[in-house]
Amino acid sequence: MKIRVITILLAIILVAIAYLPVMAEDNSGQSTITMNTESVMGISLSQAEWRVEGEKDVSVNATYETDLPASWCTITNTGNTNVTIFIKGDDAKWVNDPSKKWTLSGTGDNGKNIYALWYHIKGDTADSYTLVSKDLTSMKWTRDAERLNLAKHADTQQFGLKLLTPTQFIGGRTMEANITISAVAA
Amino acid sequence: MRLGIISILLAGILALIPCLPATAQDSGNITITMTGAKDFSINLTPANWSFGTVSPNTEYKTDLTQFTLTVNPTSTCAVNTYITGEDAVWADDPSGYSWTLSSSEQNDVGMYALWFKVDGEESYIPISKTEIQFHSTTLGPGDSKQFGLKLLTPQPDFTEGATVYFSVGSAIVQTHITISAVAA
Repeated sequence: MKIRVITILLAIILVAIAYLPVMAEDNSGQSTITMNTESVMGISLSQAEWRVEGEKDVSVNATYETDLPASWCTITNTGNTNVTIFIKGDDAKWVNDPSKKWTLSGTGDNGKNIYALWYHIKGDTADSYTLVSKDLTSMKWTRDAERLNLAKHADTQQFGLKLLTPTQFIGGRTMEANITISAVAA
Repeated sequence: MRLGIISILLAGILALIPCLPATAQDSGNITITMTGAKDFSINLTPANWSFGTVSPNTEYKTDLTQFTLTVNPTSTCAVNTYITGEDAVWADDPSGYSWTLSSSEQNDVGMYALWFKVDGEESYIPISKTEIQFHSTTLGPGDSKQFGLKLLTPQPDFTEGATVYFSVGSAIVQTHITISAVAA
């Protein structure tokens, strides 16, 4: 008799590997380091003179613009302080007798021996002009009424001027007016 | 004869089989296996530090105990630590003015350099925007290291009179150093 013994040994070994991935957890700390800078204030102007009409005479009740209406004069921050730019006009005086004047208009209207002066900042709304008065006033953009600022060294802004002569004046007199551009720490 | 041989072999095989569970045993064992998580945290103090008013092209150092890195004592593992820096920016207008963090330990116009030195170590190590090892050995729970910083400010943006300046005055220029930890 042929006895066939089949022995099947099924060994199932369950290896329970606790395979917990070792997560390399990040963690960090941060420190904020600050440094303060020293300040110096200064501006420069690219123009020192405007000869209206050059060597020619100006007419009564006439409007004149600088040859570059928006970029005739460049204001440069030569310091490093954030500054606001101010402007102040003055009466125009006869160079031979400063007591003889053209009064700077406070309204933009001209008149007998009354002239008006405006500025336009480059990049502002087209054909927008702001009146220059004898009061020290911050230059502003007409588009949003924001003050003209030069935040840091070498920042620049440009502007041009427009002048309206009096409706009546004595001809032949050379009139001279000074406008002052100044910077105040913002 | 053949039947006898088979019987002997079968008996042998059965003898080699490991003991089968006893049918009437009075005790048993259960093996429990667990792997503890690697939890950790670190703390860097102070969170803020000011060098005060700085001049161009000038070196400044903090005390070597100015900053402290601590591995939280409740952490469950040692950690490897790394340090990195950033460009410094004008706090009022980060896009308007900045100093690039040097990767060469040299300053330049608009470029500053920063180093750290762990208290007790021999030399300052440059900090860059690329992460480098903060401490050469792992730090265990509760370990702390004190360190200081060395700053070399950028070269001047301009000169007014005989004095040199940066382009922004009365400004706060701000940067961050970050120390990160990874479970060892």
